[in-house]
This record gives sequence, structure tokens and C-alpha cells, in this order.
Amino acid sequence: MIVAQAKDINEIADKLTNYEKILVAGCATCVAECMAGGEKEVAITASALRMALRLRGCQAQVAEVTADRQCEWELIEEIAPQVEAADVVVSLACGVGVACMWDRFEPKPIIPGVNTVFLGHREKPGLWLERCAACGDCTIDRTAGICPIARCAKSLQNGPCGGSTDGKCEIDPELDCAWHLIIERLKAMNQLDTLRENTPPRDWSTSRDGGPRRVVVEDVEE
Amino acid sequence: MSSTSNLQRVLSAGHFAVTGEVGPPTGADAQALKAKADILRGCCDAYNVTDNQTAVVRMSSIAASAILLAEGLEPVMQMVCRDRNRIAIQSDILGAAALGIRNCLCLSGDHQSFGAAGKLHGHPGAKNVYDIDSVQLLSIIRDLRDKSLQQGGDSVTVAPDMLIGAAWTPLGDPIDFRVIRLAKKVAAGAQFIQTQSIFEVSRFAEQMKLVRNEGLHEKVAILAGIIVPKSAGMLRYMNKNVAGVTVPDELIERMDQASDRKEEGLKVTVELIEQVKAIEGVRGVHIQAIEAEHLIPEIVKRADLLPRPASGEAS
Amino acid sequence: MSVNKIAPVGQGNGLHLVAFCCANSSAKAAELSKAPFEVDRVRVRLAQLACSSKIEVLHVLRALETGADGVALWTCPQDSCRFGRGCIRAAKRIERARRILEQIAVGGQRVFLQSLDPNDPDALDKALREATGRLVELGKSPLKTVGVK
Repeated sequence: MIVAQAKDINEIADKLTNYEKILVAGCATCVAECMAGGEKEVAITASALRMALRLRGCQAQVAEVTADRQCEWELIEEIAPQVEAADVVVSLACGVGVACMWDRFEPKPIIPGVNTVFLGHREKPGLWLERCAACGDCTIDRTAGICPIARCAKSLQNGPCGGSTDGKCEIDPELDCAWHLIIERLKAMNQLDTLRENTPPRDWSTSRDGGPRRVVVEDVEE
Repeated sequence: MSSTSNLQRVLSAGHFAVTGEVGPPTGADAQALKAKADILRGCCDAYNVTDNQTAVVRMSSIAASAILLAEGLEPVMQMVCRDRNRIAIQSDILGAAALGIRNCLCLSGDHQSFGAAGKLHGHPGAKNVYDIDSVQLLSIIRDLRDKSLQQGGDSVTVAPDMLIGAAWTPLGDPIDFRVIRLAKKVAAGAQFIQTQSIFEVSRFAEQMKLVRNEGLHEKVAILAGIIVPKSAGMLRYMNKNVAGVTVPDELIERMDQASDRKEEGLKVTVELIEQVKAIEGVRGVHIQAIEAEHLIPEIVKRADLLPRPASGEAS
Repeated sequence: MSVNKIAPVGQGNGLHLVAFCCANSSAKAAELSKAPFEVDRVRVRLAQLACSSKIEVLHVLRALETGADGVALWTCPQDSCRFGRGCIRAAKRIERARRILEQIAVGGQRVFLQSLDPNDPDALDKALREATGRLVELGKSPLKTVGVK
């Protein structure tokens, strides 16, 4: 899933001081799962914004709505009346949702209310971890299901640098060394020697480096 | 194979090699480098020039290497994968070779979040590159040199004459992988290795046994990394904060008790050099005296490693 | 303070406290949650929670947004929480609410969190008096004193 994180309320409020009708729009899918932009967070954000704006001397109305998804045209349409009625929208969807909302409601300003952070999963309550870098050429089987592009601070392809200590990365004691995990898993599988083969330089053209990407499924394309 | 690297000649002739380290200045200060060159001239076979170590901006390793070269010192230009993609790296290798730089040490590079371990601001907000890693960097330079081929498949008109080396953290975690990691670097073309600094000689010797079991010591010249201890505090800091470095308590205690720290640091360094020299497969030392390069000549002298084989004579 | 000093709502001093109390923390909470009352001229509305962890960040924010000058939450001590970690969860929610209130300059200090001594029958009364006392020191919420442009 896409993982996002709440922005500082002030950063949002600063952009809203010239509007009277504000809509806080949540998204009930990924960002709701990671507790950044679902219905509950819409209510919190709206309440905090009302207070922040009042303290700025603004008399704004802050309405609330949550779409099932802000990245699907049909589902965006379901909140269109509320969006149309607002002067500005604070979208708590991921960056994809915010972009789609702009496409649909241009020139209405849609302000991001969360920071989209990564593709990951919920490790345990309250903790989400990055697991995929969307590089466009998955070879995660070679590293026993642990992606070094997403999880090594340097995206190293041929084993750990010298900065691994007790299974942790030297840039952050909370961060697991991805290569430590890979090596431990392969050792347990008695396949450590598979890492002896050098991985050649990667073709990054499938990743963001190759330019914005598109996926076409021919048989359903219209 | 590089034909004109002095380090290469020294190693080929079977001499115990000595390299030192020269940190480029944090400014456009050629004079600072020349002053260091004057202190260090003649005491090492080659001098490592760091590439924005700890992600702090310094004079480029290529320019600093070229300045050392003009001063008559042979540089080992370090190149990290943090700041350049494969296009810039290959371009810089061609340029460095054209300037007469004959050694390159291929490194991943410290992550930009370091910023000199918090002493300076650094650039923690920088975007890193890591298009390739250090193993891939080795193979790219090897192919430029031996096949006249760029990584993308295009040819180069004149191949760069460059001896290539890599770093190795023999006692780093995960320890079971460290010899394999070395083997990967050798397979990618590493001709010499400079290790992370060694304080636990017996544990290093155990790793070297594994290296010999794989025959790697015959394929690559391993230079043991030696850091000159300046104080017990410095050793404690390294023990705690530098990954892959463990400093025995006795050594910290010894520096703590010393009445003359500088003298004790020199003694420790010379002892470490003698101990690693006795390990089969160790073909040289790489001496780092951080912010104290002036100590290197005295260390080399006391370790009985002078005079260095003169350029040209070693072959 | 004893219960007899808890007065029915009168003129008051304009300060409002919204209080939440874990039903397991104080037997008195049920009685006090029936109607608003005054303590030291601070108007108090108390709500009972089945467990303090039932508190939501939104409860705290909405109370302040809609006219409270302070919000209090009273929990069981950690070792006597009936649900084990209820009071710890409650404390984390309060922390998040405080963070947001700090961001928007309402001030996290307007949110009071305290555990009640299970051996003290007057614990809730004492906590009430302490909270209202602190609220008197803090004065009105900045949300009430700001001018609207």
C-alpha cells in the first residue's frame, strides 16, 4: 500500500488564510489504512484547521468529506458536489489522489494535507515500513524477498557496505541493515553462496530514472 | 593491468607496500596540499586522496590527486558511488587517467546523512546517486581499461591506465559475509585492498586465514588499514561509532595511562604495523593519521619501512 | 475539597473544563457525569469512559474547538488498568493531541492527564480541583480571545 504521513497543521493553515469555504477531503483506501487521511483524520484535521484559522483571525467554514478513493474517476465524482461548493480543498489522499483531484477540478486549488512517503506495509500497530521502490524490474527473489533497492540506504546490489553493525544500518540505529537480513535468510536456507555471483550494474530505465512510466494492458485499452 | 602505477610496481616486486592518506582541504587551497606533500614526500608508495569523505564537501579527489602528482607524490584517487552516476564516473576516470593518475580506490561512499559525524552541517538534504555500487564500479573501470569498453557498450579511443582497488571491512557485520564480499570485489577486478582500520589483530588474522583458504591473497594485494591513535577518547569514539571497528579495552586503557599520548600513539601504531606484517597475505599497510599527517614519516621510519623503493627502481 | 464544594452551575468565571474519566478509576465519576457543575467557579462537564483508552484525539480537539478552555483525562494507574494497557494508549493519544495543539498555538498545556490513586476515595475531587486550579492560572483559551478579521 501507499503510506502517507500527516503534515504539520500550520503548514496547511498558512495556505488557507484567503479562503472562506474549505473542504477537507479524505481517502478511504491506503491513507486510511496508515491513519493519515481517512475519515477519522479528516475530522481531526478539520477541527485543528478551524482552530488554527480562527487564531489567524480567519472566518472560514471547514467542511469534511471522504471519498472511497481519490485516484478513481468514478469515486472522485461521488464527492464532486462538495468539492464544487468549496473554494479550496485540502486533500488527505496520497500524491496520486491529489493529482487526480487537480485533473478533475482544475482550476480549483487542491492542497496536499499529507506527505506521501513510500510503498510499504504495516509491520505492527503504529509502525509502517518501506518495502518496495517501484523500480520497474523486480528481482527480489535473488535477495530472498528483501529488496536492497528499497531497504538499503545506498541501494547496494552486491552486499553490505562497511556500515553494518549488529544487524543495524549506521545511518540510523532503528533501521535494519537490509543486507544483514538478506544474508541471515539465505544462510538459513543454506544458499549464501548464491550471493557470490556479482550483480552487474542495473538498468534503471525501468524506474523513475527512465522518465514517468506508463502501463498499458492492450486487451482492455480503449 | 596498469603499467605505470608506482604502487603496482612496488607490489609486483614483492615489497611490503606503504600507503598514506591525504584529506583534501575544505577550500580551493592548493597550498595546503603542497604543504602536506612536502611533509609526506618519500615516506609512502602512494597517497590516498579521499573523495568527500563523511559526505563533507572538500576539494575534488581528482583535482587534489593532480596537485599531488605535480608535487611528485603518487595519488590513489578515491571515487565514491554516492555522488556520481556511471556517466560521470567513467568520464572522471578517463579524465583522471589523462592527468596521469594511475590508482583508483572504488568505494560506496559514506551516506550523506553523516556530515562529519555531526561536527559539521554537511549536506544531509542532498540527493544521493548510488547508480552503481563499489563492486560494479570496479568492473566498470576494469572493462574501460582492459576492453576499452564503456559500461553501455561503446568503446573508448584510449583506455585509461589505472590500478584499481577497493576497501574491505574484515571485522564488519555480518561477519560470515565479509570474505565473500572480498571475493566479489576481487572477481570484479580489485587489484589491491585497503582494509578498515585494524585494532584486533588476532581476529583480523582469523579472517585472513579464511582469505587464504579461498586463495584470495594471491589474487589481490591486501594492505592492512592502520589508524594512528591520538587519545583514549578517540579510540573510545571509534569503538562506539565506527562500524566494523572494535578497539580492545587494553589498548584504550594503555592510551589512557600514557603520560605522553603522542609518543604512545606512535608506539601502538608501529606495533600494529609489525603485527599485521607478520600475517601471511598482508602485502602492505595503509596508514591513516587523521588531521595529523605529519606523524606518518616518523611512523614509517620507526617501523623500519624506509627508504621506500624509488619510482622506477622497484621493477 | 469535598463533594459539597462542587456547586451547581452558576455565574461562573467563564472558564470551561471538559473532563473525561475512566469509569474504573473513580466510583464518583458516574454521579458527576450526570450534569455540568462548577468547581472553584470553573464550569465542568465530565464524561465517563469505559476505559481511558477510549479517548480519541478528536474528542480533545473538538472540546477545545467548541468552547472548552481545557480538557482533562483521568485514568487508572498503570498497574491497576483493567485492560492492561488502556492508560498507556490513552497517554499516547493525549500526547498526539497535545502535539497538534502545540502546532496550532492553542497550547498542549491545556490538556491535563493524570492517574487517580485507587486508595484515595477523594482522588477525583482532588484531581478536579487541581485541573480547575491550573486552568484558572492559564486563563481563557486563545481561541476565545482572538479577534476575527
